[in-house]
Amino acid sequence: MTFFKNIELGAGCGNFGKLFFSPCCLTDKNKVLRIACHLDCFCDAYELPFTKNTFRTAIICNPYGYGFSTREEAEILLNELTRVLTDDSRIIIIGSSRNKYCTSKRIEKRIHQISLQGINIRFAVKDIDSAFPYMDYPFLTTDGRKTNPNKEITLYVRKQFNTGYDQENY
Amino acid sequence: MSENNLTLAMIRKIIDRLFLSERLRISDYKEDFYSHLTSLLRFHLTVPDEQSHQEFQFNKNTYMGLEQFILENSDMVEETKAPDDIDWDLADDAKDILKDKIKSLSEEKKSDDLKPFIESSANIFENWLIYDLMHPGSVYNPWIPAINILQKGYVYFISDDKDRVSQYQKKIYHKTGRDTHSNLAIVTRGSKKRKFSVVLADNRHNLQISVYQYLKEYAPGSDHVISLGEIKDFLETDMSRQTIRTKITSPLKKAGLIGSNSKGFFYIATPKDLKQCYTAHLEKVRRLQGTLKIYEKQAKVLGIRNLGEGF
Repeated sequence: MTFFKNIELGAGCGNFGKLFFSPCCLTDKNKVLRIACHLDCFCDAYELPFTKNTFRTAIICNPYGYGFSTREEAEILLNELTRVLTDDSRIIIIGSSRNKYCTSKRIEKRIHQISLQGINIRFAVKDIDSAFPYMDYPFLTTDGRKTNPNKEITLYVRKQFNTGYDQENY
Repeated sequence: MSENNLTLAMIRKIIDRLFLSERLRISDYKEDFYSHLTSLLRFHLTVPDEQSHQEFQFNKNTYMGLEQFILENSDMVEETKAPDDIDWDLADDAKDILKDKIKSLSEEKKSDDLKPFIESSANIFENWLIYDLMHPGSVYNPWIPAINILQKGYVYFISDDKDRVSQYQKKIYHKTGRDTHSNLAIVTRGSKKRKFSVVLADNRHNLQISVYQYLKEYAPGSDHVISLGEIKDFLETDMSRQTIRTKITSPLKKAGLIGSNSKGFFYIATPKDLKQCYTAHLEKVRRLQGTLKIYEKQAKVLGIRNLGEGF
């Protein structure tokens, strides 16, 4: 798995990570996808089978059924992601502002609600024109319907190895 | 519900009225469960999508996919565009209040047994709320029947995991027969510890899709009706006409997807068809209003005040 620099969670049958963040490890929990999709690893986003500091970027496209819907879920997910991500890494979440698992307002709120030991996260959000497929990529719902996201959220992750870490230096 | 935007106080009132039923009676919630699935299916059938023509079966994946699709694309069937900003704090607060309420009603406040029921019920309540915040008072909100189940005193989860469902009712898959049933089941509980009831959805929704598409193609409008007998022949089924009416045509009519007259059923294709459906239903409502007035007069004679209180 060391070949991969990035990881996509809940990739389904998509290949967004491979297209735009190569070399990317495509993962999904649903083992039924083994037959039809080209996934690199079957795993739960809340329990990633990777050692710490493995990836530079984590990508989550249109998550549903997992994510930031509740404080508890968000805490487990962020703990797990920041564990496998290196210092100075990113979590990129692309989705709809109406998706309760990844709406930007909820993500921003959850980041403030939870405390991750030794981790600083900076939040940034960018509007996407949902009239067109983002980056010409066909985003799909969990059962394969076309849907166009309208937000790209980036969480910049810094690990505080030393005290006195200055957030302004991002 | 209301056509005004919901406030936390209004939501609290709705949640305050919830209770946990002492009895477990499938007939209390079965129709609401099927109605919820048909309401979801309405979006599948009316929103232009290449998948509409493919074979569809409810399972956890398609159920969640429809849920996501509806919340993200409700504007495609609603008259009004949803506001850009949804009050997610309100949704968070409502979920917390609901969870606390269910815990307070249960004898097993700290039991893990209750957890999946609480989480799922809160999730379903949130879906209803998000939809209502986007389109206040909309009759298309597919979670209205789902909320009815909660309001009847049942907390529940919906699953297609046979092993998981079997934990709550061991013989459910032997009783029903695999061929005629999809995998989606609703597992409910009321106030009693370790007492559950399960309804395994039958294949009526697949048949509803078939009949809807059949009528759309061969009965476009009230001048081209297809009789119930012809629908039965088309389905090549052993079901009685009454069962076809109950499970297939009536739900499609209730969802506003097809119309009917004395000669048969049709796909609503023109303003004339819609007017015919509307006036037929208006006539039924007027007849029912007449019956209600008679009961109200009888109530006065019997000295009953507020006959409809609680409804």
